Amino acid sequence: MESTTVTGDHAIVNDLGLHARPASKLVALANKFSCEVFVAKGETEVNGKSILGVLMLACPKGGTIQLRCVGEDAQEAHDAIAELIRGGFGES
Amino acid sequence: MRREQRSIQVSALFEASAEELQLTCLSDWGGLGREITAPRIQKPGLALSGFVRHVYGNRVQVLGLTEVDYIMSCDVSVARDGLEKFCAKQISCIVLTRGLEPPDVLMEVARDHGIPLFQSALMSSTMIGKLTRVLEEALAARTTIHGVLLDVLGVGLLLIGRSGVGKSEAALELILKGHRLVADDVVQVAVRPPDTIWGAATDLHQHHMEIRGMGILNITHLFGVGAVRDTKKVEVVVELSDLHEDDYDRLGTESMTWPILGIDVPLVRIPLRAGRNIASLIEVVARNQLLKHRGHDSAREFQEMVATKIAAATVLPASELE
Repeated sequence: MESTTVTGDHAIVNDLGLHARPASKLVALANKFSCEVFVAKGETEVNGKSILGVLMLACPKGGTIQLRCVGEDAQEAHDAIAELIRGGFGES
Repeated sequence: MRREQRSIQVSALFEASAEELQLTCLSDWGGLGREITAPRIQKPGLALSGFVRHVYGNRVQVLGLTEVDYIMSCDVSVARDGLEKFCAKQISCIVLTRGLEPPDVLMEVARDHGIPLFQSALMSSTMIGKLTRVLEEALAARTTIHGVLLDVLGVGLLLIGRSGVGKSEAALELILKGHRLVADDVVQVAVRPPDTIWGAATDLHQHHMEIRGMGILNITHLFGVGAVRDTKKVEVVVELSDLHEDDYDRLGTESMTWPILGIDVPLVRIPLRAGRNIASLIEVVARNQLLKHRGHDSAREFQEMVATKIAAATVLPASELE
């Protein structure tokens, strides 16, 4: 099985930061892909497919998270999640 | 998994443990930003006479009655000479025990080198014991693991497996059976010297679980304080796997391990199949681990029994028969 790793840093742009609703959107999107998704803030890296971990990062507006996708559809997963973050999770 | 290289600033140590160690800051001399990188404490003793070959930088130096009395009994110039060499070793800070007052020459040399001076009412031996534990905790290699940590019959059991495999569901069933949750989803693990791994939840998600379809649950509120605990030693790792492989250990005599921060923890792999009660299987893993702690290894003992039986039943070659 081909395994690719795609990483990228993304700034949180919506006012309330990575709170419950954006986190659940991110996790729901990550779960649509077969690759593994990791989200990190600073030294802490959590599984991007589980809500508790992503919430735990408590990333505020202006904060940066690192996205790491590992697996066949890593590129698609990374781009889709990056787009979601860039769009402020549909929030202002 | 990410490993972090740790060090702690003198100011952070003071803020975190001033109460426990009964520390008061006599004078920081602008050195609160100094780093401590080793959990080992030094009590200089002989080094104060100028033999500083074995004084190491970035450590806490504890001065007790012996040291203070030595400084006081010396000629000031001799004491200064020794202290100059001692402080030039880039030590992190100096702690005076038993509530001892610093001799003037010590204050002056510490000021010149910008080394913070603390005082505590504790005895040197008590201070060294407590301070070592505090620093070991603060400087321990640590990381986060995706999994669930449980206390099953007193055995610290870390459940791992890919996302969505059913770790949290199995954990919830174990909680219903009366076992205790330490951390769901994100387990913070740290090495406690010499060779144990301890796990805990983060402050934010402590005692919470996420169950698909139900969302986030507060386990303490649902099941009471007896269903949770704050930290636990990781004694066995259980990997749930839904891959259809045939290389599972059928005897249970292969000792597999899973490395956490360089320490090998026993590993048990459980293949998921329809109709298997995972929670019950996990409980048996814990029971088996308890047996192993007491020196019994069911699989190995069974294997030996079979070997003995075979040896006793060996058929003699025809040449030896009359």
